Amino acid sequence: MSERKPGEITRLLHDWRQGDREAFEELVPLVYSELRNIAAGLMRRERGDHTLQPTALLHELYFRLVQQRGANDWGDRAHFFTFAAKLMRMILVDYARAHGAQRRGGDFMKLPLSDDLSWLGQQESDIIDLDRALEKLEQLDPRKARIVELRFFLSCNVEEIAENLKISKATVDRDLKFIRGWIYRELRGKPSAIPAG
Amino acid sequence: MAQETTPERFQKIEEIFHRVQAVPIEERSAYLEACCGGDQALKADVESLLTASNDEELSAGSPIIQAEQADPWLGRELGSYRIDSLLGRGGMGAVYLASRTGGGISQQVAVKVVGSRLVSGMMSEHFKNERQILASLNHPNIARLLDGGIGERGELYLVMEFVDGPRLDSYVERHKPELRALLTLFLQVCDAVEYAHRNLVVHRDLKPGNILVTGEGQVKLLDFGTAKLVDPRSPEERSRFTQMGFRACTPEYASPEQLAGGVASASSDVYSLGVILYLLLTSRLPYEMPAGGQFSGIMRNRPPPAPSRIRRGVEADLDAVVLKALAIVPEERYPSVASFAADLRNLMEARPVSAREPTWQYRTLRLLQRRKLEFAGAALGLAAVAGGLTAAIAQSRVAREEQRNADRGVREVRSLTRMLLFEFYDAVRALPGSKEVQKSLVTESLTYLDKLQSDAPGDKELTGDVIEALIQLGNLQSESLTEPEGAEKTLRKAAALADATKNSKLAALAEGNLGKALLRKGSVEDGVGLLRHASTALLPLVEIDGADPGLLVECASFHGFLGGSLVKSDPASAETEFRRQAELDRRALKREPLSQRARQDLALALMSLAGLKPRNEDPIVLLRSGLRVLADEPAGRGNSTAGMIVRASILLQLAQVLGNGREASESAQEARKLFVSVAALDPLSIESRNRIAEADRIIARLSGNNALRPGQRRESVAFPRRPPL
Repeated sequence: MSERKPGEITRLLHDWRQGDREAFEELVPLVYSELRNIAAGLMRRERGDHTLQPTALLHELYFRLVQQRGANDWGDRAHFFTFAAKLMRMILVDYARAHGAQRRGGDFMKLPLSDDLSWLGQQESDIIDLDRALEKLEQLDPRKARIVELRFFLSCNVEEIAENLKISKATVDRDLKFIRGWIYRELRGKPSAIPAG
Repeated sequence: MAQETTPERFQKIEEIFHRVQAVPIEERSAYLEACCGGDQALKADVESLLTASNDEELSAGSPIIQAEQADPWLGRELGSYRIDSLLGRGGMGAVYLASRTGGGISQQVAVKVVGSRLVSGMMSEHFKNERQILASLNHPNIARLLDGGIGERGELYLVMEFVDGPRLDSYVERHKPELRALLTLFLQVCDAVEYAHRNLVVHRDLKPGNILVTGEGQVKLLDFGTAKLVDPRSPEERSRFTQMGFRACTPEYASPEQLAGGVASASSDVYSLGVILYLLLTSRLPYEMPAGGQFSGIMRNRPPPAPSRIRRGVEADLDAVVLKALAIVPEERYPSVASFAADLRNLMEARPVSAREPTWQYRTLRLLQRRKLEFAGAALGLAAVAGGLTAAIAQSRVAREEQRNADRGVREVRSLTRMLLFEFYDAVRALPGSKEVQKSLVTESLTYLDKLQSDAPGDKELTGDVIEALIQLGNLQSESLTEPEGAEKTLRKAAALADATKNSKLAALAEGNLGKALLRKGSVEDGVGLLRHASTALLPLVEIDGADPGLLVECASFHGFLGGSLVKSDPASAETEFRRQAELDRRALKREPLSQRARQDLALALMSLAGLKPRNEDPIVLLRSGLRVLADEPAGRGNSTAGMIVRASILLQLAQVLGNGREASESAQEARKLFVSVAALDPLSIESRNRIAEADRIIARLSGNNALRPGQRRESVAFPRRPPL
């Protein structure tokens, strides 16, 4: 961290939680480079260069960023994760936009970072399509969009997602089951066979 | 989608999706129809999602590939080991099967890993313990520690002997050995534990899962110093390190005093061994775990059913032995594992057992009653006891609970701080250009400790930690050479605190380090005085078998500094000091072969001796043996900057002493190369640049010498400067 501003990050996270959209913009540069490193590490997935799970890195990052008295409560951390997931999504999509053109499908980085959508990333446009689908999902059901971000861009597990979003694990499981099908249809499925009724 | 999807409609789609999925496949179509009530678009939408969901699952890839991708450790290399597959996962991390890379010999090992630096690092107190403990244990029934270290990304790992075999209880279940064979097997466990006790190590978590049996029927004890975490994924644990509920034992096998939060002793291991023997004999635990999972000492106020009531053929003597090991009050148990094992051997040889005393049950009960009163009295004071015994006992449990929680908080923060201070400090120390990081680590730790100390004034151990932190901070200040006054102040504070708390060991250490700081500053007389005094004060702690290796190295460094300050004025005394340094470092290294500091300091001592050109020894021999000491470093440990500097310094001196010839120029060249690498790692270090220049001069001189005066040694060899450490 070139600039360590623990107090500031905590304050911004707090403001963001209170609904201050600008706080997000201000948070980005403070966390961006670190997250980028994590993302880059995850994208270099060739054997022998596996690093750590993104969640583990995020925990550590969180600690380093906001470690100070009083900033340790779970709310802040959950919030930080939501923020980080969003940011990670931005980074990875940017990355895909910038590099996708030069890459061939097969050796495209394994993305997203979760294993339950292992088919994703097989096609060049997948990440960008996923991003687009998420924008749509955001309109329909924002909570599900958060779940996707946490699951597929930070590889949080069900428990972590449940804690972050303050919902039950059963709800997360249920939502994920539905979302996976929905994403598959958005990215791979044919348009509905039934004409407009 | 044909019809525009609104959030409400989306919700409806999802609801139907889940409802339809809940019914059997053959009924789905009809059910879907009914749910949609004629809305064909809705029906099509849900249908396509159901199909997509199905396809998605099918295209998710084979589970094997997924599992491989899921674990980032597989295929990684740690030191000279490559991780092959997962053996198991525990609260602290994971254990992998790995193989040694290179060297031609294929060796399978178990590698235990704790992940990323800080967060998981907090769990690593036990890990660190295990490493230290295992390094000191060498017994056929204890899985051997082969290596250990810190990976390039800061992961901690231990490399251990890989034991290919089932757990002790599964082994017994499968082979159903007869009683005699069973006891022989169990006695191997006792041997291992007894050996550990002789080495002052209490396992604290003995259970069948930690005991494996090899194909040859040999028992191997694992997991020293490990404690199981309740569940590393539970939110309380991740959210605050103070809440990391370390459970240093497994309740079913833990002694009552461990469960009561007391200190685990050798007697606790006797108890756990008793539980294990009970289990092996009867296939059940002496006390069954209640459904809720809360195991408390309270339930154990009665002895368990005698094994003979469960397994036929168990004689009354064996009952007595097992139940004696399982006595609730430690004083009633076997005083040692050795006596427990001896009684088992008596039994096998049909000699009378010591456990067979008619009154033990009665006495146990009496003692327990007495204990209860003591507990209550201690927790609440006599007034409360007088006020009503029942209430007092009930309340004392609450009070103890609270006290225990408070203690645990302090203990955990303390263990974190110790880790920051010692484990990470040592790791960081090996990194180049890290003085600032080191200093911030130490100051941060000091802040924690200060706070802890104000919460728990008068805690001797805590004060000890503060003193040690102050000493380290003082050393860093002194070594950076930029703040000699600050160093002096810090070290004087450490010494005063140690004096005030009558901690003579730490007082001597503070004093000695103050002496070193004064020498660095140029106050020779005061420095020498302090160092002499400190090393004399440490004599009784150093001149014993099994002296703490850390202390040995520390004391050795005092002699090294004394030697260095006497080189010019009193070469004979300097020689004595360097020899003493070498001797102490050698002893430390023997006890702890992984200690880089002991190794490097020993090499330095030999180099210093060579510089004195002692009468009876060839400096070249001394220098070469110094190089050998460095080269003997166990495999898998990287080249630390300090190690490189020491090696380079010795090589350079060797080149100078040799004066000409191939070995001389090769040594000088290699020294130069090493200094260049060091300079590259730490670009701010002026010292390493100076040393490169020095190497260049020597190389130039050597090529001149070789041309002009072959076969002659240079006479004037400057006393080597001690490398910057």
